[in-house]
Amino acid sequence: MALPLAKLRLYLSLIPLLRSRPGITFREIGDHLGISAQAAKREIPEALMLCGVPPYMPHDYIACFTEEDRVILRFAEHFKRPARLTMSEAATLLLALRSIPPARGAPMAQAVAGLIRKLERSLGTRDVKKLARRIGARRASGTFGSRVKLIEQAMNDQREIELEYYTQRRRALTERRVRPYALIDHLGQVYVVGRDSLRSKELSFRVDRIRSVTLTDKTFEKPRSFNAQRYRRSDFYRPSPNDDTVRVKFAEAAARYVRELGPATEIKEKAGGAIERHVRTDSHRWVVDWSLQHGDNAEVTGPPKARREVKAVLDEWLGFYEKHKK
Amino acid sequence: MIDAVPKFERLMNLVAYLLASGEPVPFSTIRKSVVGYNDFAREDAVEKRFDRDKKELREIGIPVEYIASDEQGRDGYFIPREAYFHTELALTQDEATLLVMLGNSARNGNDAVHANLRSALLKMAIDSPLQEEVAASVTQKRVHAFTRGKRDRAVLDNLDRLVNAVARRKPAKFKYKAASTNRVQQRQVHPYGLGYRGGEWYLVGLDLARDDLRQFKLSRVQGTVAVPKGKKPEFDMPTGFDVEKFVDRDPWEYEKGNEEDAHIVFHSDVAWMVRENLRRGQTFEERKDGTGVLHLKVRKSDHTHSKLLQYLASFSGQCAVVKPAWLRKQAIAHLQELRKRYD
Repeated sequence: MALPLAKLRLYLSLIPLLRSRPGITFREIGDHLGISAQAAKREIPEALMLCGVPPYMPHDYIACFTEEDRVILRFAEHFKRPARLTMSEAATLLLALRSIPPARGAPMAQAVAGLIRKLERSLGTRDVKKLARRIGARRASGTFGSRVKLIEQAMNDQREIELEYYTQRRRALTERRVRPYALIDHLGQVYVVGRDSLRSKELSFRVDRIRSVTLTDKTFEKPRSFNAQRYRRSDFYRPSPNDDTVRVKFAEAAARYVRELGPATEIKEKAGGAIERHVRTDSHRWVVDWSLQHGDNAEVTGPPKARREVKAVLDEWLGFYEKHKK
Repeated sequence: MIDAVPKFERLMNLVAYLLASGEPVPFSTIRKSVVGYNDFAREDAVEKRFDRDKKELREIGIPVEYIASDEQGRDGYFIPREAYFHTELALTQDEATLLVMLGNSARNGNDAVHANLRSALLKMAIDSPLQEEVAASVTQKRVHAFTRGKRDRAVLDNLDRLVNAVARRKPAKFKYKAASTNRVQQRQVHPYGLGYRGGEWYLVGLDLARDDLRQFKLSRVQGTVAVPKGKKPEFDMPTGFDVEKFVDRDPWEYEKGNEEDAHIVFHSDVAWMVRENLRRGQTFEERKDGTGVLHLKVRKSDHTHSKLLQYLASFSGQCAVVKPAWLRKQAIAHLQELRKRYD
């Protein structure tokens, strides 16, 4: 979109918001526009100062008053509401809403459904109803939402929770006591981030691996230094200096899928389209499972300890087959 | 008379005037009184400028209309307020929280998807009951990421084109690298829908060359998706199409052929996870010893075996295929074969 049009679209939405919220801060405006508070303070009064209607008497111009970090708008009565959502905006909003993990029963899931209903009313039911069936996501399991709801309650009340959690690296259910700080939806997976009281460190827990959540009466104060935005990044896993590197060789048939996965850790090209991927990890276990997911197209090539772990898993697995014949 | 008014200012003035006037305004009046049109340029040049502006305003959803004679016999241009103004939404706390969360995830993207999302959210912000402090606290409690940021730039650009193609029923043309063959081929598709699964976006549509409904992972699209311009829809949607029916399927369900019952037993430590994630058509049998059996339908093929094995590997060592016999036999042989590699 050409720059003046993009700017126009923005200001036609911004002016009604400024009108309805006298004294709104430039910081909040900046958050809406995706710019800094300083940039908002610099740009907005300048952009609006010559906008008006005939006969262009003083009160026919939009008046923009700034007071330190706040702004007040006057004489913009004709812009009482923003323009309707365009089809592109509605469709994109629908995309974003659908990308929220649909944890049935959780307040956010109900809010998604409520918003889609309101979008239908706002844009014209027929259009959005049709569109809502054409932009979708994989459905969620039944009890996932109730756990999210309890975690949200614990976050709001700042109360510790007890978790029964399936730890992948130990392949066992473990008991955890956690101070929940934030819920993170990361590429379709929901995590609760908080301080594990027994391990005395900040950890993340996949909500679909939490078997049960119990609210306790013990309250806590979230540390001021905690910043949930640190978890808004491309790759959820953060390597640590203590990580080990596991090497996995993928045959050509699997290599094409593996190349698509991030993060782009070191990949060595091998003959016949095969690759060897060097994965930094604090747990051999998930790399073992990952390699097994690719069947005979993958082989853990090192270190020897990781190879022994694959062997142990396979022995255990074959033992499980032996034990469960029906 | 004034000249050289910046385009942004001229368009703002025009929209403001048409909204403020509340009645049809002939071009001659606009020409005389609205700053940006009341300059010394030739009449036909100003008229062309006005025509271009009207067209562009309509493209961004501003309904500039013309009436030859209204109830009072007036003619001219107007913006119907009921069609222009965004309907007032009574947002709940939770809905407003959700919008703040999405706004936060849209804040930094420079692509069209994020720009459209920011624009939509800005329009809806006027109806938010949240105070600034509350909104700020949301960003410290909820984080939502539906893209990999810069790494997804190409996917997002194509997602924007495709969401428009889906909404406007326009065909899409793109180069696609199929994972099954690793070959890049040109595809022409009637895009029926977009689905999200496991952090990935998929296009579901009719592949015209293959005359079959296919799914395309957006991260495997090579280059830019081409979508023709214009508003007129170019294909009909199949009746009852629901994209969720496609993205909700498990990979081993894509096979064609006769269905068979499959039973998979799970260790007590993981059985509850399987029980809680049952998909359509699956059932779960709990046993007294804490183990559980997943009942599902499969079709006999190598593809079924490999895709199911991928799923079972996430429970490696803690599950076993019980039936059908061919699948159990294949699974055991496969594990024994793998085991030999690590001797």
